[in-house]
Amino acid sequence: MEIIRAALALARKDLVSWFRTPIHVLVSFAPIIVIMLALTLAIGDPSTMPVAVLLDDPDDASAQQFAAVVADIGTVNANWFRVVTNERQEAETLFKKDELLGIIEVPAISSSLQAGRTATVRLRVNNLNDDITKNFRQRVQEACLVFNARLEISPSAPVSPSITASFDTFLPRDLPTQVFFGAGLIALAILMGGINNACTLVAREFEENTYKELVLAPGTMTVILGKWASALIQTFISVGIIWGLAVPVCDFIPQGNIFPLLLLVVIGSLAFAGLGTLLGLYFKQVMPAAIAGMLFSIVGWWFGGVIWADIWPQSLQGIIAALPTTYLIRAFTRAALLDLYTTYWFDVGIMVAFGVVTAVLSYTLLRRKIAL
Amino acid sequence: MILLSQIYGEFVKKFTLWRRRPVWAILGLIAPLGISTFIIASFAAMAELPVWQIGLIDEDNTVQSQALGEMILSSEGTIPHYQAITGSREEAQALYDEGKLYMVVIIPEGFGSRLGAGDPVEINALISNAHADQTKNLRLGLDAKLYVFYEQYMLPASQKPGVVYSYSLTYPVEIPRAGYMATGALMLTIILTAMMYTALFAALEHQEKTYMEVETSPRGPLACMTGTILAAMVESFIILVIMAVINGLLWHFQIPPASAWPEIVLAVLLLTMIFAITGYGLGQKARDIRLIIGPTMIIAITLWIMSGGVTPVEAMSGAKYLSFLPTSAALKILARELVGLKSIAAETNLIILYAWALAVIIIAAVIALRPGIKR
Repeated sequence: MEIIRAALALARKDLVSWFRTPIHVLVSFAPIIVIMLALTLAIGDPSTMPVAVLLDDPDDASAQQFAAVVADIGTVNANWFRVVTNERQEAETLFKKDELLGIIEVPAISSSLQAGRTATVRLRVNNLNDDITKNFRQRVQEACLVFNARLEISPSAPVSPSITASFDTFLPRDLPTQVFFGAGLIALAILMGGINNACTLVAREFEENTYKELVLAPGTMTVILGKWASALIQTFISVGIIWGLAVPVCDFIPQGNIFPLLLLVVIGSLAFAGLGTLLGLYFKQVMPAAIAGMLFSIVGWWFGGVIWADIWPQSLQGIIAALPTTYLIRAFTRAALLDLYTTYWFDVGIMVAFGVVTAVLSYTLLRRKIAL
Repeated sequence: MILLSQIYGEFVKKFTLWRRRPVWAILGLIAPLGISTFIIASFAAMAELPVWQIGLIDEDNTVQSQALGEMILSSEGTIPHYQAITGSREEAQALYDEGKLYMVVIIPEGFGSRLGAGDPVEINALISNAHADQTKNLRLGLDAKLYVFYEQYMLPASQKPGVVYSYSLTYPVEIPRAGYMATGALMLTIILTAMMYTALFAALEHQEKTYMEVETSPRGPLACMTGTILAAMVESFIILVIMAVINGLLWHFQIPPASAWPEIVLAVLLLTMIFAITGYGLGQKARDIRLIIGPTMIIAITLWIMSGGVTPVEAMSGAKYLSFLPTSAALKILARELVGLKSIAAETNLIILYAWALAVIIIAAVIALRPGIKR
């Protein structure tokens, strides 16, 4: 009982001190807000490519049909192409000014097919980089497949072979990228909050030379409990701010039950508070400890919060599996976005194990440092 | 003459200060190098090894369906490539439902006979759409395989005409995304270091209470500002050269011809100056060096992304407006010479940089020459 009372007193002292230092409050969530804005601004609508579609024979019905396919295809979220112009001169000018990523030149398809010749659509790509070229080629390939499939029902042209894929999706609607980022960034807020709040609380005691007062606490466990309780509350506040922002900025609305997500906030914060404590004890200065914690969090988030972790190349999968951050991000994003819990308890178990190991190490190191 | 010697004095003071604080110099190099290398390497890794594990179920098991299966799993053509980890429908469905497989392709029964009869054929795909960008890659990747199958197998076999495509490129060689991003890293280095160093110097004057002496001398604030900006520009240039050498070796920059150097140097000078002046303003406001690094990093990284550091600005929504950023203009000039994007008009981008530089100089001069700086 005495331990808990002392731990709560320590937590209260740390919380008051935290609120009195706006820079520390800001550090716990400001970088995530910046990442959120940068990602949604930079990757807001990357799928639509500005192009010109030029018809060799504007009266050719099949060529018009092909142009309509180009303007129409895409996903439910975005079209593949934005047709800026159908005028050759304007197209050439815009292409030279880099305002078009490509020009699609459509031959007189009807007359070619009726003469028994294969019609070739000519594509000119502004290959600013290989990724753009790949995307462009694949989209025009899809346009050819869709057009050939639609041509079967056209009575004006001879039958051409066609192959298409019908897609059945996991979710009723494609999950927009920014919604995925929203969930990943909340997981990052848990990580960064857990690590940085704990490391700041510990390092500051050494930086401001107040750690000697901690000797008065009734045991090492009291100090750890006090610091972690304070870190948990701080993390809840910063996660709440990020969550609140993710709703309007990223359109993030969690699917399913909210309690598994709240449980992850608690377990994640505490599990990573252990790592934060170790960093604080090692560096004994707020800035380097916080920077190290931030870097670790961002690296961990990058491998699961930008795209699903198992999409990364096999060569990176070993590193990704070894990072404890992977399990928090996976559990959170799956539960929040897909209402999927197939690996939830396994991920929670890994986090608890990681938390126990770092707690034991923190206890041992803290005991040695302040000789309690 | 007195003003010039005052400016020179400030320059020497700030340069010496920088040399005596190696942490600042290291931070100026490590921050842009670390951030950009991490992101570029991640994208490069994605571009080189994008093999997706899928379920491929051949319910037809004919020569035609096997040929299509081989085509789907072949590593020819554009990425992504696919690797089948199961051919069992039940297992594939279970893995898909658990979120462990992102795509299951089913070649239905009767595929071969329909194909042989010249009828339209369709295959089915279960696709995870839990990330719009990944969904796009999966779907377009499968369609690309179907297209190759159509062009190489179906058209010749049917002896009927169809619609295919051919393509030509603006630039003779494919420019790797990593090379383009590495150019963006140079722009990041310029804006980050120029802004951070002037802001740190300006804030330090206030923090250590030495700005009073600057203010008491005639035209002291102007000399201080000019000397600080010049020193930061030289320091940024030193960091930029190191960064260019490292990125050039890592991501294979071209060595620009002698004729291109004047415009490169001019672009670098203008961009450095714009952000050095901005940084000076930030330092004057902050007056505490602890408040410099965070905001500087935030501004620099945001501008880097918005100006095409990761994805070319031409491929982004809002390209019309983002192209007018000084950072976008400088990035284009650098990319023109370092990765060979020769169709970029250097003149237009230099005009954008001139306009920004002029605007920033006018604002700075008005503030510096204003009597009695508010404290």
